[in-house]
Order: sequence, then structure tokens, then C-alpha cells
Amino acid sequence: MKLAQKDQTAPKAAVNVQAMAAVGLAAATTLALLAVLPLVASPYVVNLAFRVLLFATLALGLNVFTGLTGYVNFGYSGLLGLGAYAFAISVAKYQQPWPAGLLAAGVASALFSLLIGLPLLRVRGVYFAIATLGVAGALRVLTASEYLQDLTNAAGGILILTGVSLNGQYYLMLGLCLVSLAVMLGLLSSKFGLQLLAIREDELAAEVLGIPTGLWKLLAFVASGTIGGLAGALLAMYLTYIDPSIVYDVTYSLRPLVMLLFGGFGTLLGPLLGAVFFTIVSELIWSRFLTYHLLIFGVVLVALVLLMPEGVILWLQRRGVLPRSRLL
Amino acid sequence: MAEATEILLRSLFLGVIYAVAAAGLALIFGVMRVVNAAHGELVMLGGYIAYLLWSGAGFHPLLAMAAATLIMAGFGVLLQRLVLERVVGKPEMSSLLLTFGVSLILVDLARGLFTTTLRSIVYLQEPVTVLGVSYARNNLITLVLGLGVGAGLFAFLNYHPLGKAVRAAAQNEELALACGIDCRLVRVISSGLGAALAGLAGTVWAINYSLFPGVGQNLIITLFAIVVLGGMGSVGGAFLGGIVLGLAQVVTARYLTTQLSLFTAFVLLLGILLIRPQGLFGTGAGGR
Repeated sequence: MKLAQKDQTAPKAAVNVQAMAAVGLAAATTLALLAVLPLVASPYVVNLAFRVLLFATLALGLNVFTGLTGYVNFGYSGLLGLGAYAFAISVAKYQQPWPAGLLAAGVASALFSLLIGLPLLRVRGVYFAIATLGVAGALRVLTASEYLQDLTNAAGGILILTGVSLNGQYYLMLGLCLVSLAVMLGLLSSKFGLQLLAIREDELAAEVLGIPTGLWKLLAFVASGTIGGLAGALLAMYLTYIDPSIVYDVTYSLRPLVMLLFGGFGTLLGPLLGAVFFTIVSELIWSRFLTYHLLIFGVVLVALVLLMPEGVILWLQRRGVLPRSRLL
Repeated sequence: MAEATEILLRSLFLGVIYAVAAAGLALIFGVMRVVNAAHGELVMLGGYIAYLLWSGAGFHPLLAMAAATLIMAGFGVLLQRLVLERVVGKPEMSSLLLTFGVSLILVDLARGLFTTTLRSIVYLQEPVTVLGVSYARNNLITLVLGLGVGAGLFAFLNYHPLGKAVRAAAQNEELALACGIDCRLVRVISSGLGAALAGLAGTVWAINYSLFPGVGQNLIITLFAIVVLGGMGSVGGAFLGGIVLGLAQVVTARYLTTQLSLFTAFVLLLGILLIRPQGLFGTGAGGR
């Protein structure tokens, strides 16, 4: 039996080396292009690329938890807003340099995810989704309320001047996106990631098999929340002015979710494809139909759920266009 | 004493509107296992239809209310046949995402069609004094109407054969089918009835408060909180939950600040989910 297996795997391994070389080459080329982009492209393109990277990071961050465990987080904008405010308060109010602001955003969003994740992860399915919606709403209302006026300036918003150039912000965003990608790749090729997927497929069975489901979900939730908070901090830096209606905007929960749904839960390249596709389509639509861009998003969401609920990566894999690898 | 009465009355005025809308949401969930994230938009749409009939076609506000309720019932039937039927039996998550898409479509359409100007139906705004505190007359009409709808719904679900069929289909679809109940028809009826209740609540909202395209988006979290509070799928629970939430919000607005009244809904929602996920009257395992 063992021998037979060896014989079968030998030629496959050779193909894999070739395929890996091709993938490595493609990744290196893309990375090189992204690295030189700000040096050759116009500010408009760099701005667009920044937004693509922001949404790619958010979709990947959401994927780390929602994609792998199947628990849908409808309140990702809450963590984005929290990170943005932690950054803004430490930079604008306490006059800290921006790296300290990023640190504050990361720590705040990680701690908040931990605190809220402990009770929240006890409920499942739609109950969890509705609860996360509630958390994001509560954060928004609390930030805008007069009780936190001294800290958040309530609805008045905060002006943040970091002095980081657009190109600098672009590279920071690129860095965060690559880190998120690395986290996702690490998860997909590790036992831990597989165990998270087992929770998604059948939580009871996973628990019976000895997977500490509660702890694992919490770890994924905190990792996902930290990525969201850091992305929020970079968004605050990019916008230079934030108020509750900007950073707690429900579209920051919705768009990454639609991108993830489009790409496929728990895939590596799916969220990236979704982010590139939707941000660029959105850019085209936004400039033409100012009023109806949410409507188009709604139509796409309805169509995705009805026609392609497994996402584009799995859809293509099933049709043999893409190889059946978990690492795609 | 006078203060307590005032708070109670004001809670009821707000609570019955919530109760009527939330009963529709609970009905749709109970029968179809569809979490209708577009329910707030059904309320918004019902309000706008009544507003247009009142201001454009010169309908009496109560006639406009009846017409809007009927039109929304038709809309609910269409929505069920064209969209919701496709996710019946699928995971609840896909219905949530699907109806979220529907809600975005309706909000943006409303923004385009009705603009963002605040609208309301002017009806019986003269004050009336109860125990030394004056209220608008329409508040009292709302209360009577809301309680009447609640009683009617209770009677329908408990005594009418169709209402009993609705409850049977919600409790156990297979057994209901075996007893000869047409569950497809029951789904159509409950979606129509749920949307009609939303339309009615929308009209009452337009009479008491004001309409704008995003009104449903603000309302939906409150409605979710109510339905979770009462137990997902429990119509009676949703009705009572609506009144409890009205009370909580009125008390918050009075003793803290109006800004935090939405926060109260979130806190109640989270608290209930953590302590008793099956809700006050729910029987299910609450997703555990």
C-alpha cells in the first residue's frame, strides 16, 4: 500500500514543482508591480490602488474568522471604527507619532475582540450575526454620544495630520495586506486552519474530535479583529478626518462580506479577486450613477446568494478551470 | 403617579408600532426560517405608499393606511414567490444575506424615487389631555389600532383554520404536510401577512414620526432586538417584546439622553442573546 502510494505521488510532485514555480513567478511579478506602482502611476491610480488594498485587507481579515469558521461577522465596521478612533485619539489628542497610533489601534482592537468574543461566541448562526450587528451599532452610537465627548469629540469628528505622504500610506497598506495574506496562507496550510474549517463544517463533530472549538474560534476572532482595527487606523490616516458616520459606515461591514462571498469563504485568492473586482467596478459605477451604487451592490448580493453561493474560486474549481487546491 | 402614567403611555405609543412591525418579522421567521433583513424597508415602503396616497391622491389617512397595508400584502406575496421561496430550507445565513441585498435595493430605490426629504402624514395632531399631560390625538389612535391589530392577530393565529395552519407549519413542517396542510400556501400567506403588518406599522410611523429612505435601516436593529427578546418566530413574544423595548427606549430617552435610546436596544439585544438566547417565549435551542 505504501509503495503504491509512493509511485502515484512521484510524478505528481514533479508537476507540483513546476506549478509552484509558476505561482511563485506570478506572485513575485505582482509584488514587483505593486512595489513600483506609486513611482510610475498618477496619484489617482495610487488612490484607487490604496482602496483596492484596503478592501483586500478587510476581506482577508474577515476571511480569517468568517471564511474559516463560518460564523458571519456582520459588524466588521465596528472594529474598523474602533481602530480608526484609537489611532485618531492617540495621534491627534495625545500627540503620539503615527507608529504608536498604529500600535494603539492594534492593541485596542485585539483587546476589544477578546472581550466581546468571549461572550459573543457562545451563540451561533444568525444569532451571532445579529449580535455582531448590534455590537457595531452600539459602538457607533457610543462614540457619537455626549458621554464620550472628551475623548471622541462626539459627532464633531477628529482631524488627524500625520504628515505621511500618499505613497507612504500606500506602502503601509500594502504591508498590512501582505501580512493578512501571509496569515491566511499560514492558516490554510496549518493544522490549526484545518481545525477551524472543521468547526465550519460541523462544530459538534469538531468538538467531539477533541478540537478546543471555543478557544480556536476566539483566537481567529481576535486575529480577524486586529486586522480590521489596523486597517481602520490606516484608513483614518488616509482620510485625515474621521467622524462616527464615516468610519462606522455599514458599507465597511457589507463590502468585505460581499467580496468574500464572491470569492468564496475560506479561500486565499477569493477575497483578493473580490476586492479588485468590486472596488474597480464600484469606481466605474460611482462616477456614473452616484445614487444607485448601493442598489447595484444589492443586486449583486442577491444574485450571488441565488446563483453562486459557493464563490468564484470553488465555482471555477468545480468546472476544472482551476486546480483543486485548498491553497487557492 | 402622573409621571409613571405618562411614561407608560408614551412607551405604549412607541411600543405598539414596534410590536406590529416585529410581529410581521417573527411570523416570516417562524414559518419560513427566513431572517428578513429587509423588514425595515417594508415598513419604510408601506409608509411612503400611504404618504403618496394621502398627499398625492387625497386619500383620508385611514383609507391610505388600509390601501398601503393591502398593497404591501401583495408586495410580500410577490417577494415570497420571486425571491424568498428560493432560500427556504437553506441555511438561515443565506436568507439573511439575500434579504440584506433586497434591503439595499429598496433603500436606494426609495432614495431615488422619494428623495431624502423628511415626510409625514398630518393627521389628528390636536392635543388631548390625559391626567394632566397633553398628547397628540394620533398617539391615542395608534394605541387603539395597535392593540386591535394585536388582538386580531392573536385571534387569527389561535382560532382561524388558516392561522392554525400557519402555526402548525411553523412548529413542524413535515407533520403539517402530513396533515394535509399546503405549506407553500402557508408561506405565501405568512409573507403577505408579515409585509402587510410592516406596511401598517409604516403608515402609523408616518403619522406619528417622519419618513426618510433610511428609516428602515435604523429600525431593523430594534426589530431584531425585539424578535430575539420575544423568541425568534414567536409572534406573541414579538408583540410583547415590542412594548418592552418601547418602554426601555422611552425611559432611556427621558432619564439619560435620546441619543442612547438606540444603544438600549443593542444592550438589550446582547443581554438577551447571552443570558437566554431562546428569548422570553421561544422554545428552540436558540442556535446553541
